[in-house]
Amino acid sequence: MTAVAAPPTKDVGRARGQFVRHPAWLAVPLLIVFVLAFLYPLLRMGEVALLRGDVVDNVTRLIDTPLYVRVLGRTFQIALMVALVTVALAYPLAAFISRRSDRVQALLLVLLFVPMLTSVVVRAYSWVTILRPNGVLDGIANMLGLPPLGGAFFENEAGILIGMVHLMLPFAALPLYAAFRRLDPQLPLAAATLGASPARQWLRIVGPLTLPSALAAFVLVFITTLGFVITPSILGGPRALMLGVLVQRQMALNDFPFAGVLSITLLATTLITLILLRLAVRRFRAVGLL
Amino acid sequence: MSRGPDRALLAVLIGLLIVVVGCSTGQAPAQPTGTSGATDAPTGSPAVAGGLVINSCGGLYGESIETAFIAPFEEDTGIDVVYDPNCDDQTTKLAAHAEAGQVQWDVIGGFGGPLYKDLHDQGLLATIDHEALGSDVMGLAEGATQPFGLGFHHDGVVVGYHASQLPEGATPTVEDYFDLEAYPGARGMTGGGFEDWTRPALALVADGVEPADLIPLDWERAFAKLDTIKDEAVFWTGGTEMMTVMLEDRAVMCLCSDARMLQAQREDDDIKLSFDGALRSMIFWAIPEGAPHSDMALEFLASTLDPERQAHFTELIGYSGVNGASYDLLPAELQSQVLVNPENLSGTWAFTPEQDAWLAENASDASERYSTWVSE
Repeated sequence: MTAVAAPPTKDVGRARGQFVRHPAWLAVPLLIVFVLAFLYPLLRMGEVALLRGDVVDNVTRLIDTPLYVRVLGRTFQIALMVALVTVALAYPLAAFISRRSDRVQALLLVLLFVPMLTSVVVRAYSWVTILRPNGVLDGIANMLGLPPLGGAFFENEAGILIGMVHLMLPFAALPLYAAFRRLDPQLPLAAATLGASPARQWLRIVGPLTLPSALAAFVLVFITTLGFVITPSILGGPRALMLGVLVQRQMALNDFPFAGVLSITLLATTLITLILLRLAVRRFRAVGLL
Repeated sequence: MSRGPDRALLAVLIGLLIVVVGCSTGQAPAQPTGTSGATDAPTGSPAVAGGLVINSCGGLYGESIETAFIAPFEEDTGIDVVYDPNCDDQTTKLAAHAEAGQVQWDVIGGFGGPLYKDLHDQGLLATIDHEALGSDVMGLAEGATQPFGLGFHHDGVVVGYHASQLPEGATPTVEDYFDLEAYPGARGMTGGGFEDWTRPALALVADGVEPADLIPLDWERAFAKLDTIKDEAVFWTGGTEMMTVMLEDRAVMCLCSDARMLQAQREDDDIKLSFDGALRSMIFWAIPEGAPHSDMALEFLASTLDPERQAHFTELIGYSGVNGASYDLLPAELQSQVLVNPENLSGTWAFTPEQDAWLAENASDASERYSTWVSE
């Protein structure tokens, strides 16, 4: 309505037409889902956490119990590791796929996404059979005459890392693949013609054009891992707890207000991390990096 | 010009939120009233249209319930039963159903007294009329007729052990489980997540505390005792993993579920059970407040007390039924092994209902303390 107020009468009709036909309106169905399935439940969770229980008590409990602070720290640590490793693997993978012929590309992309047709639970348990003591990995070690690993990658942070990287790889590889596809192959070629070494080509051309996508992939994997429950609870075991697992336990114990306080803490710390990350990126851009 | 649509979208967003919040708070909050059997659940919900809906755990447990209890009940009554075999989120979903005023389950089962008492106190479970059920005069195991539920089966935390890896003829007690000098070797232990007071309580009993004096639990002393075996502890997460730890010889002894050890024994007969000092508790059936078919639910509960069905259940999975008559129907070789065998039973102890009340109140605290100890 504010848009209609100022311009002379001749433009009003046009402005209104633009207003009505604006593509932003296509977002309305999504907005409805967003409100119903995310915003409203989030507010309800806040209500449960703040009004149904004793907030002061619950927050004190959160801060005073070493378990929660430690698990929150570990949750961020694991999410960070998973995001770093996933992007580090997805980056060369995406570069590799994007340079194949169209037919091979299609095949490789299908292979990348086939695992996603299997449920997360099944995939976590597949890793259990591989990683656990006397599992597939130990069998292979035995065949090669190596000492058994005895579950060195099972029921600990390493187990979560392996399971989550496997789960997240397609999500990181896809935006990176898109970035490499968008990259005009003439650009590095031109740089090479002008005498740039491969390292310099990457540093000046390929890197700057693909790193924003790598950053996006990193954030995507990082956030998803922070809140994940199934894979960490199956592969992390009782010693490598992540916060999502503790939230679920509190809910099973019928302590919803405390589960809410834990969830809000995770959400808030995630938001703070994202803001810090954004500030850091802006600072890097200002000095010419990225 | 794009400012206009942007603002309009924001307005739509806020408007929607107000509408949603308004609608949900405008409704009368579906707080359970506390009167049992009042089935004024809205008709037309999917659960009402179908038959009796039962929620409990999956796996062998669920299969055994379906075979031993549900199949004969369906045959007798002609009532269709839908079995929902996932108990991981039972509490969460129950609370969600109650809040929405759409209770989906008629019967739930699979958990112990402290949890169900807590849920009953909060109005989420109906009060069971044991007089109408006839369960009050059946001579069921002590504590099986509670306001919040009907006893389903016993659950033991016993000592499971590999006989060949201990001195000849040794039958280790719970006290021996904590004695690394007399019985060296790895100790299988739960990683927590379910009734996390059990292992600290058993540690206290092993340390000489009388079961009657356990509550309030002396956490410091309990964890000091648990510390003495921590170097040898092998932790597991789920029930299946508990069996794997023993079947793969990753532990000499464990504090394990009696039924799980009986199942493991079917695959490896070197695995034995000792009930000396073991903790005995009871798992219950309960009826959610506002269950769409609470009459049928009561009928089903009554049918579970049949000694033959309970004996069948024990044969399938190893848990002992609450109806003593079911014990007489078990095969002799199983009789010597189950928890309710008089000799085995005499070695066990249980929390009193008063102690259970304390445990219910401190369940969250226990979970926190135990997880801290495990992950330290």
